[in-house]
Amino acid sequence: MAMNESSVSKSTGSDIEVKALTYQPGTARKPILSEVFYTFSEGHMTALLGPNGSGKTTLLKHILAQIKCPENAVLIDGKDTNDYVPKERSRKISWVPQNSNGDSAFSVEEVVLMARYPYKGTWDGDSEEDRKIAEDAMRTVGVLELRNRNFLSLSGGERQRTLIARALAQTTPWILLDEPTSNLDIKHQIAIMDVLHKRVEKGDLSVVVVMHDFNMVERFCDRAILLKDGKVVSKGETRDVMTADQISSVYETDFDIIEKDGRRFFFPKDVK
Amino acid sequence: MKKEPLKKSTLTLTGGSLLLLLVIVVIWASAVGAVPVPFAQSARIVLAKLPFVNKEKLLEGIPNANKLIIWNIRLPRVLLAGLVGGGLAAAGVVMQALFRNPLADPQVLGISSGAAFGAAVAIAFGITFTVSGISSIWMFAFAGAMLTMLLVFRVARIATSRSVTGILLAGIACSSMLTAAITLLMMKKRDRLEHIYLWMLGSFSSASWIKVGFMAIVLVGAVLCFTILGRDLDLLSFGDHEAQSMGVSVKRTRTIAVVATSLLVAASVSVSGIIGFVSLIIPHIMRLLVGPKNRRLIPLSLLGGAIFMILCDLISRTAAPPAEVAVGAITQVTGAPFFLYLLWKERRREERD
Repeated sequence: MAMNESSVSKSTGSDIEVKALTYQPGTARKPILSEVFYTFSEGHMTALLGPNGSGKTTLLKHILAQIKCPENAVLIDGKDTNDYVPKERSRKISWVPQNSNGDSAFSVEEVVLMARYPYKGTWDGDSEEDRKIAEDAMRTVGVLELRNRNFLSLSGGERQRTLIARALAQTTPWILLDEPTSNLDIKHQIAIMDVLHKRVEKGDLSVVVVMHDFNMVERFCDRAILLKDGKVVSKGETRDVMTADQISSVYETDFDIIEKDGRRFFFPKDVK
Repeated sequence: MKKEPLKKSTLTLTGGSLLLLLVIVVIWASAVGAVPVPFAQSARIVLAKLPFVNKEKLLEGIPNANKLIIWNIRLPRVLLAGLVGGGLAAAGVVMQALFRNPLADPQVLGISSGAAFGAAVAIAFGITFTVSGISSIWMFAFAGAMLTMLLVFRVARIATSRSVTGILLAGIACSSMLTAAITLLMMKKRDRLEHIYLWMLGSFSSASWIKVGFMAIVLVGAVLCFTILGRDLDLLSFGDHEAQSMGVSVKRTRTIAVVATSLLVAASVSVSGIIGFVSLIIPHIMRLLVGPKNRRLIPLSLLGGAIFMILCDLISRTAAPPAEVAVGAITQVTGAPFFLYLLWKERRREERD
């Protein structure tokens, strides 16, 4: 496919719609997700918030069809996620897992090039175009100088950045990230969120990100959903979702919120 | 571990030298034996089998006996050893990718035990006949392997929805069940004990052109499947979920790979008995040479496995003539120390870096 990165990632008016999604595996006493409604609309950076076990990752897994969805519970571009073949879905949504399961000695560059799979026929090799896209992605997250390193020999943060590069090289209109900055130092946390944010502002990308750092969410995400026990407690613009009341009750922790230069800063105090 | 990216020329060189080595080994192994044939004669006799060559001119002045020995006895045996060795090594690469475990071996599928059980039944009950070059022991072995394969898939599907672990567990269970059954058979029919045991240790002494043809067809089919799936197998090293998020149809890939591997292993074991270690050691060596990409590993392991097996079989028939040493024992005796040496070297390199 001979097209450049920006034209591939251009959003095409696509939404991810979640409708009445309830998930209760056979063994669970109560649902892990119950009656979740939300439309992730394009052009936003949406934070998925909630304490551990509130269903954030499970929601992502449904969108990615890693868990079988009920019929018409998740629609991508108006089409049931179950009706996508993986290759087709992977041209729309890329995924950055919390931890990678990679266990072969591929180099960083080889790992990033894997993301070009959805655009390839059986016998195609890596084209110049693919290499350029991979190189751009590696440069963006600062792993270009690690390109020949063995993926398995990387530190946690370097791995995480490689996975983000891989997702970028997949040139999808959507990226779902599961705690992408948990292993990163503060400089890389801000740098990566900033890169994603800029692409969203340019209209190239839409992002859904699971995060626990409220200050990052406040700074970079314009939309937020707050989950607790599998239910949506609040959703909408970040400012309306992340109120002192809602945050403290969902996270069972008191917060001080301080406004400075038009931005709010969250300081956790005591556990309730 | 900082390393330069693998150059295309290095790959071509590795592949080219292996191919050349394979040709030399085929000719050499055909030359060596109770009746020695000069290398040059052996080369001409082997090459005369290729299409589009002038047979008359090539074979001028070579004694008839030498031609017959090589064509009818040695060459089919050498080629069968090569096909089985290459097949087992390629199957090993795929198994290791599927189970994401460098120690996975086609034997965990239980198919080898199925073949052994089939052969043991034929031997124990004296069912020996031959239909147009196909012996009953071979037939029973292949049937045993195929039935075990179906049983393993069936059990795996009932036992668990997670296909990989399911197949692994079902394979191990079926395998130990069949091994026990073989032991019982051997106890019951003590006079056939040695014959059964020798079959299980593996040998190419019953090689024939029919077996070569059969193995070649299965091998070409399986390797074609493996190569088509090469990139999918690379992505699967990140686990099902990551592979799927990058576009791999995980279920389809697994099914095709497991079925092709099973057929290949069933065919190999049925013509030669159980020969261990090739499927473990060859992929490992090749991985050290050319890295983890399956599209490189599969063809190179195929060549490496073929060379290794031909040499092991050569030792097996020349070490203590006129008796034969079980080829399975030779692959283990030569393979295991080398494997340990490789692990030790790898460790040293890791410590240095």
